[in-house]
Amino acid sequence: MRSLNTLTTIVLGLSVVMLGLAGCVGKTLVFGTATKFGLDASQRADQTVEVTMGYDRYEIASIPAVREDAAKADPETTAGKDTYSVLGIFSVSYGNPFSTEPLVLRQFFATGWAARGAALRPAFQQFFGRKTGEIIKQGDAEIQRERSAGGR
Amino acid sequence: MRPSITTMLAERTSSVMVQAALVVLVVACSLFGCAWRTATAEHYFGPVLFRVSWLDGAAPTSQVLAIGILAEGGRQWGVSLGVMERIAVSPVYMQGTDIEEPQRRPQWSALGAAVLPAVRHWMFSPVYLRVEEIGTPVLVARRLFGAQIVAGPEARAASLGVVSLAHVDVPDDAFSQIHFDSRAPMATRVRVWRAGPDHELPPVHLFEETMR
Repeated sequence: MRSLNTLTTIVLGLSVVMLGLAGCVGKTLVFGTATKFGLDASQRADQTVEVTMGYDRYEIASIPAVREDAAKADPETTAGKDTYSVLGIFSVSYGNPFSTEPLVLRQFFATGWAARGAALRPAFQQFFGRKTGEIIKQGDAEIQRERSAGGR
Repeated sequence: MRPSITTMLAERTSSVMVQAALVVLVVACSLFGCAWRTATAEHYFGPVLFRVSWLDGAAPTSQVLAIGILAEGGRQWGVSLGVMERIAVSPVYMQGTDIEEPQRRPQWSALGAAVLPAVRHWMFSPVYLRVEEIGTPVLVARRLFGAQIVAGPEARAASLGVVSLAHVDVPDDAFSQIHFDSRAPMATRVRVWRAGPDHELPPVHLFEETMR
């Protein structure tokens, strides 16, 4: 079991969600992580009630979603509207809540037309490609650290 | 006719009880607060610590700390017991590298505060505080040490212990850059570039610092 000190981790997520999410109509995309300490019964959008004993920590990013079915939407009424495209980088760093270890959030999101425009621009493609590589490297390093700590 | 010892004792006991009741009432009032949130403003009745920030291109930010019992109503309902902290950050709208329009500052008024608050400095509001938000906050960070039952868009939970919640509502059709550090919440950066079919995209180097 990981100690509180080793809870200081960086969670990086990169998601590319492009058009065609007709099956997710009316829902909200949520990026988040959670840890708990104490007793907690909570409910978030589109989820059942959960009861937890532990330190409770959430970092959530809700992405807007139009309630219309994208596949059936009238192009004339939805012209200029696009909320299904998302490009995002989500970083959370946290530590022991009883110490001075801070909670640090770094997020970058492009939604709707911004995501569509960014996906077509080589500069943004390189930016997200580079960040994806950094995320994979950081994840590998984190796994290595955990393995070496677990082997002691 | 002199009052008997029994009568004097009864009167003294009664007086002590009244004083004790007053002390309990004062202590109870000083530990009880109420927050009412509308679409545009927050009203706090009872003692709270607070500070606001809007300078240096930082996002308009308000931080309120309540100790004791805090009832919440309006947009968010609930009752909290313990230490409750809420940070709300509104976005700064950008156009390229510049701020889209002259930055508005959060409007506030405090009844009973000894002095007017300076930017980023903690102040004590003993009776009533009103903080007018600049648009809907994009980032709301709540922290609780104690117990609470809350229901609303920010949180829906019954909790006992330590709860830390950071909720980001990403704006539609926009680039959003968010940087929050709990050591320096007043320096939180929430920048938004609007986008549309006819909008020019901001240069990508503006976002490089996001993940550094």
